[in-house]
Amino acid sequence: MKESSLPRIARILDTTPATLCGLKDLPEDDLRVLAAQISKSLFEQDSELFRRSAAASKILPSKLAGKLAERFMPPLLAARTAEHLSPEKARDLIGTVSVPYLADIAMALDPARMQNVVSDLPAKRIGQVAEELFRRDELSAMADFVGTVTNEALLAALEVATGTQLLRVVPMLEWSEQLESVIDQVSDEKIDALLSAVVDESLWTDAVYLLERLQPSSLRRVAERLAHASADVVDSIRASRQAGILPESLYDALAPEGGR
Amino acid sequence: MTHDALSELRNILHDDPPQSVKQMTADDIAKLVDAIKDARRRQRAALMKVSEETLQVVPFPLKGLVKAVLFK
Repeated sequence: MKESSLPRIARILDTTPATLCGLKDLPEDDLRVLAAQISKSLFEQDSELFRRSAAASKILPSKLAGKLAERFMPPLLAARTAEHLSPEKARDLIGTVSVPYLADIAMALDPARMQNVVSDLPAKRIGQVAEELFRRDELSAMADFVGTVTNEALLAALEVATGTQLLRVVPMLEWSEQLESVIDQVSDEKIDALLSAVVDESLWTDAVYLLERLQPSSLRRVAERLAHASADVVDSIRASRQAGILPESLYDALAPEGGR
Repeated sequence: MTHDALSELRNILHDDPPQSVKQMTADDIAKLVDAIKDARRRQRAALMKVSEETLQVVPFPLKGLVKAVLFK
């Protein structure tokens, strides 16, 4: 259910998906492989130039290097240069450039090739970049980073999303123990926001996708929050069960009537 | 023609593309090759431009060292 890799290939080639119309009906797995091959090809072609740019940034004070990068280096090139940075230098630089520029770089990064750098970045800054990406509705780019960032950073990213954004991004995520563990840690306020989004925007189908993947402990937390929810929320749950959207087993687990 | 375009794609990727890509029409493969070549050309030009522009504003004491690293 992940979004197509075609937009990613277009970003890598700095073009629009429309110019790559021959790829539009290809299987997602093949597009993912092709995206990685193209990314590798572009990186390797100018690997020496990227290495030199990264080396120059090491000579300069981080604040100056960050300012110069943001002024002169397009995000796509910055993303490829970043592959040659040490985690320490990347951590220094990330604090010296603006959040919108970082978001542009994040969209151009190949998370799989950047794991050693990305996994060392401060969670707070990743949360700020995530907020910017959510604001731009770049959910697919966000989803690509799950598995690359630390639990703390992933939690920071999920906490800045609105309930609706969370429900929309979840189907794009590779489900994993890491993701389950982080979802288990989201705040009560976030669960309340999710429930409100489900009811206000009739997002029960998306909610069922998420609920069916939750660990029992997370499902119990949702049930606990439901115990404090308004009558509107409880009515909406009943209606979704009656409409056959919410499976009986999930309805029982949530027990919106305080156990039956 | 498909064979030629495919060979060029293999050369440019330094890899064998996925099966469904190999089964695209020769025209679509050629368009993909052109898009990759164009991206490579623009990337090289942009990198050179960035290096030159950056060097112009690097403070004097560091300019020689940065120039050596970027253009040696």
